[in-house]
Amino acid sequence: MFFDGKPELLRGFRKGERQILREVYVAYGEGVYRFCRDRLHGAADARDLVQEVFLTAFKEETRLRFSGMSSFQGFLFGIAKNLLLHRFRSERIRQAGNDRIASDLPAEPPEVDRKLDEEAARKVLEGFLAGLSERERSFFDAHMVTRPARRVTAERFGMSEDQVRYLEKKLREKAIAHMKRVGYLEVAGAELQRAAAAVILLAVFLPTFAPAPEPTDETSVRRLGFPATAPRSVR
Amino acid sequence: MNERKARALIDQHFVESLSPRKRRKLQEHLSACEGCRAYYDRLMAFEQAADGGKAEVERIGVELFEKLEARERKPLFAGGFAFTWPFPTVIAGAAAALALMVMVPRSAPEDRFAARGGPSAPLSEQPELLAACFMDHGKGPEATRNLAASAPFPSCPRGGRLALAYRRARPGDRLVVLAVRDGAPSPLVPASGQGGLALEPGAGASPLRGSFAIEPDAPAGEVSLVAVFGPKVDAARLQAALSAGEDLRRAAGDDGVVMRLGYRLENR
Repeated sequence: MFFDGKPELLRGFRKGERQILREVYVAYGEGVYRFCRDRLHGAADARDLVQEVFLTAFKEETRLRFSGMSSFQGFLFGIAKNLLLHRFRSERIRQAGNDRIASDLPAEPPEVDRKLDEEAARKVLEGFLAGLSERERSFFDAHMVTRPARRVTAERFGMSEDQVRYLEKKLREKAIAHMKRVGYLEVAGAELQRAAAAVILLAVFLPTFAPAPEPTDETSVRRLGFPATAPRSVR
Repeated sequence: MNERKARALIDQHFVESLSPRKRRKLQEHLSACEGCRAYYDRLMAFEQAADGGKAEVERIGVELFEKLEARERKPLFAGGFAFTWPFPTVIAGAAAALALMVMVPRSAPEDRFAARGGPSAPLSEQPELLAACFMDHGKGPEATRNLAASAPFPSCPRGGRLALAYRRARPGDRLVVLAVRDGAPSPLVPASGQGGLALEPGAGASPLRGSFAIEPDAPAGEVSLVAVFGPKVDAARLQAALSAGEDLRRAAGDDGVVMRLGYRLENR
């Protein structure tokens, strides 16, 4: 446990010493992020909640409430659960206002959807890694998977820290290009949806104003539900 | 912000860190745009597949500690105002600077506040502080008012901002600005340290970077900004002189120029 047998750490935390708060975040940030991500609909929501959890945990009155007698993890995740519940309640109230039945709301996003998203992301990642050179791949594995300090990667690869930063940036740009190329990032936004709706409306209403073309023989035949050309003989 | 710009920012967020201002803009957009949130989620799902979310946790940490620092930034005096950096928006900053340059009357500071920069230096050649307060709702400054050298001082809004600029700085000039409320001075520029802020010499007005947020719960009353220009200005010495009611001209040195601007906060 983080504070076990380290009274000076606990004192520093209660005092709000910046370095110790950073250590707390490094120790628990990932766990809290996973916790939030597993219970919310996406990374953007999880991001907000993680910040809220730590901002609450690092407030003076909250810090002073932690005596060190119980587990800090339990304390921190208790805050996360409370904030999560508060968020769900607000969401329910909002939805109820939209004539939805509050109890219908799932407490968690459907597990199946999340698994499918993860599976899709994993496949795109595999495709991206397959396109990397050997050196890029080894850099990716060493630096971008385990996330050591830049200094560590720089020493390992005989580079400067700036070169590590540059290479990471290039690989990330390459990853985005790959994701766009395979259509992984094609998410229709409201503007695109509006544009699509406009095209559909045009398609629906334009023929009523424009003179209909004379049907050719082929279209006439199709309208009757027959193929335009006679099927070939099977024999 | 439209979706195209928001997605470009999301890409940038994935590739390298965003500036706090851009991040704030992006967050505002994400909270209102489902499409961009889905786009963000996909990028993060990809990253999560690679590193288990470590990079995102790092980014969240950077932002978290920036927020903590901003929270803990103490106001200069209780109910006064606190330095914020940078401007809330580029538009607001640029427009406030423009307002300062264009709208501040070009009259010289009053004699009672100005120490001559040597017997031969006319007032029109002395350095001068310009200041304006304004409200910022994210769409540029509103209700901009220039601070005055003498009464009646303009009324500034609580929760608004103060922008400062200077002009006619001489080579080697440095600047100290102290905020005085009820006779108690607090250093405003530079926020910490003893010496003054080094200025770019020149006749034209140059805005100081950053702005000062007027606390929403600041008490009613008059606030003076005392500006001291000179090659050897010392913030601590000037503050002590002001607290002791001594002559600031002496504390400012031979080439020092002292001027005051004021504003008031109305009763609620």
